[in-house]
Amino acid sequence: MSDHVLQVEDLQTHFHTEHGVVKAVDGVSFEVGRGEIMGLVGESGSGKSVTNLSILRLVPTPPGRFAGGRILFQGEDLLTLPEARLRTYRGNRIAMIFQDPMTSLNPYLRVSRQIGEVLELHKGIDRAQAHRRSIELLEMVGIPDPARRVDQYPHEFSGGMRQRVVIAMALACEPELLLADEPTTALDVTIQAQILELIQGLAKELGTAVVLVTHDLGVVAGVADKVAVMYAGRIVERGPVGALFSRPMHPYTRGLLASVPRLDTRGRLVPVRGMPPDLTTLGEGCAFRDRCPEAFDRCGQTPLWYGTRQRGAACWAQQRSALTMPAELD
Amino acid sequence: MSAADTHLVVDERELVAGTSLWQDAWRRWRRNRVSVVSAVVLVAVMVFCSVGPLAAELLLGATYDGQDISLGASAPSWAHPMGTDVLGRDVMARTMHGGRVSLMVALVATAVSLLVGVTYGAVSGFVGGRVDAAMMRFVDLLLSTPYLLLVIVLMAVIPPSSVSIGGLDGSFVLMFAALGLVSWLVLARIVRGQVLSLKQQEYVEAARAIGVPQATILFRHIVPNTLGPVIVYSTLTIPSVMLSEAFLSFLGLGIREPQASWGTLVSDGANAMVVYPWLLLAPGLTMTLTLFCLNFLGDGLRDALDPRQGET
Repeated sequence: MSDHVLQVEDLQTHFHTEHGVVKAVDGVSFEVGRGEIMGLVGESGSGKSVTNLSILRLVPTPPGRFAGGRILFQGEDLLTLPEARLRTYRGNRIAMIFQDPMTSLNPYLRVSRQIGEVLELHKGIDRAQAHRRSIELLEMVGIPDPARRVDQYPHEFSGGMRQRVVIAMALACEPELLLADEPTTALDVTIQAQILELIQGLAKELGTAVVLVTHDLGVVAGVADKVAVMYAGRIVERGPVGALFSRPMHPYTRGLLASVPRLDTRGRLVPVRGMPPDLTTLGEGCAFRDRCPEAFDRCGQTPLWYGTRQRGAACWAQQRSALTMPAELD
Repeated sequence: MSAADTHLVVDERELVAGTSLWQDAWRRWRRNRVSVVSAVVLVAVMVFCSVGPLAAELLLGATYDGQDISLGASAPSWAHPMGTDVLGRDVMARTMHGGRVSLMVALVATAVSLLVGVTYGAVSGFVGGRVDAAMMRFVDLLLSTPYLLLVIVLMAVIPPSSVSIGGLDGSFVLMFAALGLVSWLVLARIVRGQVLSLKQQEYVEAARAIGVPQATILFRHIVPNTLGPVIVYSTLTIPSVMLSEAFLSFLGLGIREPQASWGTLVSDGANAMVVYPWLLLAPGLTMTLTLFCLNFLGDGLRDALDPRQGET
């Protein structure tokens, strides 16, 4: 499929540490099309952020190492692209939004300079033009009185406003791909909704493909078109957002959904018991089996993918139940 | 009412016009009265030391090395406003002359530590890994060598006569070289430490994510953030460098009689403190005033260079 903006194939990002090799990303594949928002969910340490950083090759190497796979951006493999070439893509064709707006802006530079920096770097415009464009961008992301605000320092902005600035920076060059790493985690709920709406609106208007990394299933349900669930460096389930939420296939996804508080149903919250596995000692077999309520002897072998590239899960239990009842595949 | 409006208009124009850190810092700094007064005093001291000797010679006929044994150590008078020393030399002329050496020492040490120390430390911390380890071991090596030994070796290896520049005595040049050699070491360490923590900041990652080249990241996004500690440390370095110079001179490795510096004048004056207090007071107070002002200036600069400091 060539209309995919981003196509990640069997990505393997490993870290070589004193305690052994950590396979933070171990064979991840997905694709995102124009104007599409893909949610990448999982708990801390599941490899979702590393996947995102790998796309822009921002993983420090060493200790990181790309052990395999391809990351095709508009058909070009980002993993083999020369650094200088990749730099012209960063912030220009591929932009990134970081988690914490309180720390992702340089306290020593005015907002106009930080937004202007991207424009000056990639669009070759001068400072005065960049300044004007910065005002437009601030206006676009909904910052009131942008002409005055643009010349202020980050500390003069609230958290939500700073995240808008960060988004304005990310959108400055109208990227084809936007990587958002927990863009709303540091914000309170009302601001969260506004920021998500903003990202969603821009994806639709500008046709930007978005990879939304988050551990918040509520966020995913609200804005994403499709979802991939990561566990211990692998995608364990994927599907369109509606199908995945209504009929989760993997026990881990079910566990995640059961641990989210909901207003429309009563009952106890059930956490996913246990802790994420130590990635250095991960061997053969399903990484989730020690925490899985449905684990059986077969789980000692690494599970095969069950389903299609659009909808499916990596779980033996699915395959077992498929023998007795028809699979629900969308 | 209209006054307030005018003020607002002016402020806004400044906001739009000034976009560099330095312009902002300048605007903030001017509001810090103590710091501005200190700067004015420092300029006055510099004028006193640079133009002063000439004026004193023309007006009072006093030179730093002109002896008049018949005067002996005389108390301050109209002819000699700060008195004379035991050889009958005018203390004011000597203080002015000594200020040249001391201020130059301070200037050289600060310039070297800012240029070399900040760059070295920043690069070391930013590159990290083996480069960092090697660069820092070199600093450790220089720091662990006794300073005095370093200077003596330097002077033994390089004959002072071979390095005299213009009218400057060779041993003088060597002393500057020695002070410059060691003055940047601690600052390099401080900056490296700062950079190590700053490069983990998300805005550095963000800068990388928008394709900013490494060198620009280091010098636009990281180094300005280290300025606070750098300035504070620099203001602390200056007095200690002045004292090192006095110490070297005392050992005969720095400047020699009849040349003088504040350090040597103070140490000479301290010996005769009880009998001829003006010998200590004149250079001592001048030096104290200078160091005071440097500290206030440094404080003011640090605050001005930090945009987070109240701009209400």
